[in-house]
Amino acid sequence: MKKDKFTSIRAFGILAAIQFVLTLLFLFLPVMRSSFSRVITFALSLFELSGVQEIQILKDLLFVIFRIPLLLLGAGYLQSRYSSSEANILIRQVSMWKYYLKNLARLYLMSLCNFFAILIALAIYLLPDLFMGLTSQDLLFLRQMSPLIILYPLSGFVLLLYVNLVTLFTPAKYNSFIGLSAILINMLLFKIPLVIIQSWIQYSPLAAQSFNYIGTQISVNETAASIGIEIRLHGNVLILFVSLLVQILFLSVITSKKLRTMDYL
Amino acid sequence: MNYVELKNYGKEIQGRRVLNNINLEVPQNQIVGLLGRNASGKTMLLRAISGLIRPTSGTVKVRGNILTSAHPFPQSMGIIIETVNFWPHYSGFSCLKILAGIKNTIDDAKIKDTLQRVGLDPDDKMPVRKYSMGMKQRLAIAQAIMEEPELLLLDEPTNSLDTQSRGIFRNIMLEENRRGATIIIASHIREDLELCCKSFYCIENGEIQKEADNGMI
Repeated sequence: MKKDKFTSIRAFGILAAIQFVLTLLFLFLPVMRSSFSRVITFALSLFELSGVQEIQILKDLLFVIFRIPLLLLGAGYLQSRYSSSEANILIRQVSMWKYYLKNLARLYLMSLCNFFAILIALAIYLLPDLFMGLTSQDLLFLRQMSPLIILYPLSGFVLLLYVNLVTLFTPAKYNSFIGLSAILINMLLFKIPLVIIQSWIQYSPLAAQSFNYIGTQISVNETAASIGIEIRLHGNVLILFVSLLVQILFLSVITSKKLRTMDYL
Repeated sequence: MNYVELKNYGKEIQGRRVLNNINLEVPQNQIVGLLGRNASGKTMLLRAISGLIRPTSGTVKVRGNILTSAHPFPQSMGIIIETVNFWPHYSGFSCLKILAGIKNTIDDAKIKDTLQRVGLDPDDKMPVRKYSMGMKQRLAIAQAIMEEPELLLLDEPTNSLDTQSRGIFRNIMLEENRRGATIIIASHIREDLELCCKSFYCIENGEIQKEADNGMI
């Protein structure tokens, strides 16, 4: 099965390469950033939003860009693995449970590839600063962000599980649409001023979006006050981690139950 | 003894009845043909027997065991359903080796022998993406028979095969039958089924009848 695994890794490598190039383009091409910014600012001006809101939405949209390749390419992954075009693989499985777990592992691998592609692109962008030497403030900033090494790929995996679960109930032609919808719903949830939603969202896969702030050199005080990094990463990081694990368990049970009763068309 | 048995099998997909009250008995070690027009329900019936779809009503028994969600697939089965997906960047031998690696019941020599049987060169390094349609079909036949399954379900197996390859296919089916395999072949071309099937059923609008009507095609 070594070659089968290698094939998957190659496919995920393509995903990582797309993400890597996209992130690098965004970081290194001011033209791309400014055009993107102008288009969004114009669009937002139609809704008469204030400057602060515009900046927030711009940051959210950046997050969207970081998630697009993962969710578009990963949407419907499970659906495609349980179709009659894969019948020659399916009927040979000694244990369908092991096959299911293997597919889940591949979803996680997909998220991991995506994360490291972003990380490497950011490292390249920040390389000149790193050669200049790190200040204590930089080290503190990195320390605060370090839990994201676990949380970001885990949250991508949970998002993929949500998307894949929905695609099991819908025709394959809607997969990309469902992937994109997941990102838009993610953005919208942050804007809904309901206590119950805002309480839940801190423990959802979306909470790891503070990854956006990596590379933005801001003072510790400002960081703690404006985006609540101190609170989120020190106060709730463990709960967030546990919450993600619970969601994985919950989604896995529902997905496996659905796969046992669905038709492999 | 019946190797495959469907009792009052019905299947509804999105409100449409695709298989209706199917009663089918395929004795062990028989070659049976399913003859029907496009979209008559042949492929869906093969999916039902293979366990790829769950019944809305009725049951499927293979070798005396009812297929359930806990044990959806028959234990020993080779299958061609529509187009078989292979890994396009690997050679035919590598693709079969990947598939054989799932169960791990046969060795490289057996894979090479199977490739030779279907008329492919086992040492050919050409990737599958460069194969002609006929070569892909021969590779699909090879993956179905390589592990010597007790049950073979083949959907339009002679598609894209030339006259010579059809002859090879016929001989392989007869050899597999002599080995003890039960074979069900679906096609919309009567001549293809006559190559090797001893009996065949006609399927129309998701319903099955004994014996095909010549005038139907």
